[in-house]
Amino acid sequence: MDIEAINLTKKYGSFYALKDLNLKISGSKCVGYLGPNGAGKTTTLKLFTHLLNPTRGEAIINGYNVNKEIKKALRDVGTLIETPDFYPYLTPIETLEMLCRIRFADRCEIKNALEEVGMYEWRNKKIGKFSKGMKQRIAIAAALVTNPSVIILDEPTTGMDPKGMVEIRYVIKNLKKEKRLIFMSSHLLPEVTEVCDEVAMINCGTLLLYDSIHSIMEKFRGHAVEVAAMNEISVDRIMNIKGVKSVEKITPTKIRIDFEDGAEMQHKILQSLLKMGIKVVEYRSAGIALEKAYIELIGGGKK
Amino acid sequence: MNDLAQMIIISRYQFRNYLRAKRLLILFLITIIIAAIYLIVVSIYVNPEDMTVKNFSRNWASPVSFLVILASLFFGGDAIAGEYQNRTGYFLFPNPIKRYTIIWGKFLASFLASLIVVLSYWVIAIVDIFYYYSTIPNAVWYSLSLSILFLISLLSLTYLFSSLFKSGAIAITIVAIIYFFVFNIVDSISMLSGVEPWFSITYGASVITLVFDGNYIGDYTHKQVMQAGKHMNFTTYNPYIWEGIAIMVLYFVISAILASIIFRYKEMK
Repeated sequence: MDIEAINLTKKYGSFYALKDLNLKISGSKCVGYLGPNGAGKTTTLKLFTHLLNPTRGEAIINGYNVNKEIKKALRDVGTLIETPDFYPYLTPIETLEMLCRIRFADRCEIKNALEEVGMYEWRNKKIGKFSKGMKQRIAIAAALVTNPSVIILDEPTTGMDPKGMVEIRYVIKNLKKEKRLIFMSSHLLPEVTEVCDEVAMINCGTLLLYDSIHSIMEKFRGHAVEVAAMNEISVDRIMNIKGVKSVEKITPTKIRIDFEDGAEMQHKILQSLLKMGIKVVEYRSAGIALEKAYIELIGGGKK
Repeated sequence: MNDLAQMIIISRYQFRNYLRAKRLLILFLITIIIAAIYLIVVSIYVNPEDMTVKNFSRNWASPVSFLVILASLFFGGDAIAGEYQNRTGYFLFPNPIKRYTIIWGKFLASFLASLIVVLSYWVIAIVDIFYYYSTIPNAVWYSLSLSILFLISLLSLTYLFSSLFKSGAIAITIVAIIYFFVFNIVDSISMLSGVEPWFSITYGASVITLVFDGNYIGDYTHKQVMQAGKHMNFTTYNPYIWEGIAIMVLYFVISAILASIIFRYKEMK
């Protein structure tokens, strides 16, 4: 199971949608692909799924060049690119049957795939009348139905209601247990933190970072906490706590504390607050490490 | 994964589209209406005894070109462009299947659907001819074969246009304009300029009715010049049978190659 981009480039006129991307992802894991709108995420995924032809470079899946050996390269790949539409005259069952037939795959997984995305009760209705969220669920079922070892997902929770988003994240997390390589683009940082093991960040068509979530957490750990209390908090008293750099009042009962360094310091500040008699009801890191990394790297990329 | 098996799968689902979208039914009804009008007109205004069987058959063959054009528009116009416009390409293309397999699978379905319509018309025509004359001239079978060749070549040309555009509606509109107006204008210009329109597919397809003249080898007038006023001539060309076949075959081959190559490299942006 591996996906590899070698100097992968897509150019429209003089504009580089993707420039010399070199990235190799191997093994059973879930990799989040992050970047702002227009960064080149969807372009990359389209190059890996033969929807675009590269200007130069190679998109390789399981050792096969997608552009030259499409049948071998995509044989064991499930995809969801943008929000696809389906043939309106087919039902979900017929749509997945068509896919299984094209791929010469076993059709016994159709029921499971539809159940997994919560669309089994709609199995015999024509897709033409479905909402965008329902079509997105069918698209995810289509990516899973042939039981592929490599899954490429382009913003899989787009167009879904909050309940649907939670369900799809649960499906993706379950997929990770079954030895698969999942390459998933998203601009939802909490989603990537929750679901993925590794992250690749891209901006302006250039790869900025590829690392594990754990490593990013270490590198970009935040040094600020948000505190909520039952009563009004006195900022002056908190400024006297050792290690506190600054205190910002968000609301009378909620503050943000910037401190010097480390998890130990974070713990000591909490102890001090409690000793002061502040009735703390919420104490959490302000901003996630991934968000910090994203803002630092993507912000830098824009300069 | 066998390309031929995948082609047949694509073909089956495309054909199901024609059935469920009622396109096949609509065109079939149009065909029946055309045939019914013709039957009524013949029974009221024409005495078959005053006509030779070949002339009677030729009248039946006349609307076939129109029917073939309609079938090409109905079944080929948006066959490729629709995948881009309706975003179904995002579902179909990222699969282990070659683009050539997709286009030829769709072409096969379009051809079969069109063939059903054209053959239905011919069946009614043949029954009517046999009813009045108790015989079927060979020219009918030649004309029928040529109309199938015209269908293949025109569908191929339609697929070329369909692979050029990203909107099914635009593809159908442009193809309709080209078939109903542009080729006729080209034929008219040829009459005035005296240049044989060997590059026009409708000129080549005129052998569908010309086959009823002469002895099926094109032994009819190839070029006729008519004086229209003092300084004006009208030149009418009739293609030889071989020439008509060559034009249609060339249209099929060139369009099929171009459509396949364009579709192979067409991107889903």
